[in-house]
Amino acid sequence: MNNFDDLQQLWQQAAPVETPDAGEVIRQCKKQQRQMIAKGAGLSLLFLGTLVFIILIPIRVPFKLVSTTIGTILVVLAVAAALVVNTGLFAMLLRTSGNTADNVTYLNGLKRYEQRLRFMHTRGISIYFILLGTGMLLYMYEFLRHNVLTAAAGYALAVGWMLFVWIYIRPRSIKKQTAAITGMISRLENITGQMEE
Amino acid sequence: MLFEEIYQNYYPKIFRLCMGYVNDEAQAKDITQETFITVWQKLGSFRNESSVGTWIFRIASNNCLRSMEKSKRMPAGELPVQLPDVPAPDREEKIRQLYSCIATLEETERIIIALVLEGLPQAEIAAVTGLSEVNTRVKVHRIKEKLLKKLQAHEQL
Repeated sequence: MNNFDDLQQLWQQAAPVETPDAGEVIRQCKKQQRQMIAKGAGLSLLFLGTLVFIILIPIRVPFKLVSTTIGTILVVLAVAAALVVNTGLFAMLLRTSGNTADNVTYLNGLKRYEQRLRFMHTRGISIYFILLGTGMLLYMYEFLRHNVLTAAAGYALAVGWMLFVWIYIRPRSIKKQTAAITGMISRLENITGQMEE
Repeated sequence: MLFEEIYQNYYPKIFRLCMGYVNDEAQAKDITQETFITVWQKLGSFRNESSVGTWIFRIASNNCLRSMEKSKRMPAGELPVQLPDVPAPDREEKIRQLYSCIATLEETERIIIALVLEGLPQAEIAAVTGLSEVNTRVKVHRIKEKLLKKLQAHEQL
């Protein structure tokens, strides 16, 4: 096989055992579409539902203290930010997957998506927890302030849970996600590097 | 153009491209199928800005590049048990060697050489990869030499 023309001939003779039925591709396609929409839109819908619920509470039961209103605003901000980021990432994923652009454009798009994902899993998740936690602590005050014991128990429970999430869950989640995403980005960079002169 | 027509015409070509990239028949079939799923989904929005072949090869090569996490598990040069077609033993061995040597090239080199072997003109390869035509010409030349050297070294073993 010293001649490139021979190689080309050999290559073009190789064929799959059989070409699968085209109908199977269409069936797979419909299944994949359903799964993708359910996965991406599911989380966005969950955030949206939570948001509607939080906004409806003060309409039904008006707050007496300004701290409750501020707390609600912070929680709404946290959930709304999560909704926007998740929907944005989902839309970006839809644009990226099955991209018909050339390889260089596609790889750059994929790299941007991974970088955004990395931001979301590191700084984004911390901002979300801070807003949500502060909002919840302020929100609880109006309902717990009448009884010292209930207030102490309620705050101990809430702060305990938040510390557990912040100290234990958050770093683990960040570490796990970052490792996978950083690996992916460095491989993408390696491939785009190959494209350069 | 009808999906069925495109499918029958391009399935073997796309399969070979994927096979050259991953050197694993099951995975190559998966990526080929994934490619035609996209073709089916997006055929309506295809506006003849490029040839249908360029368009399909772009989707397939992007899918190959995206499959890198899976392909990392595949040791370069290892071959599937079930070989394509049912070729004569000698040809079978040569195809085996060819896929095996391509698998040891870098990711983008695998894509480019598969397109060259498929007989695509360099302008079309440039349109698929997004490289300039000059860069494509230089790369094609280098990769051809690299592959031939690898095959020669393989034969001498």
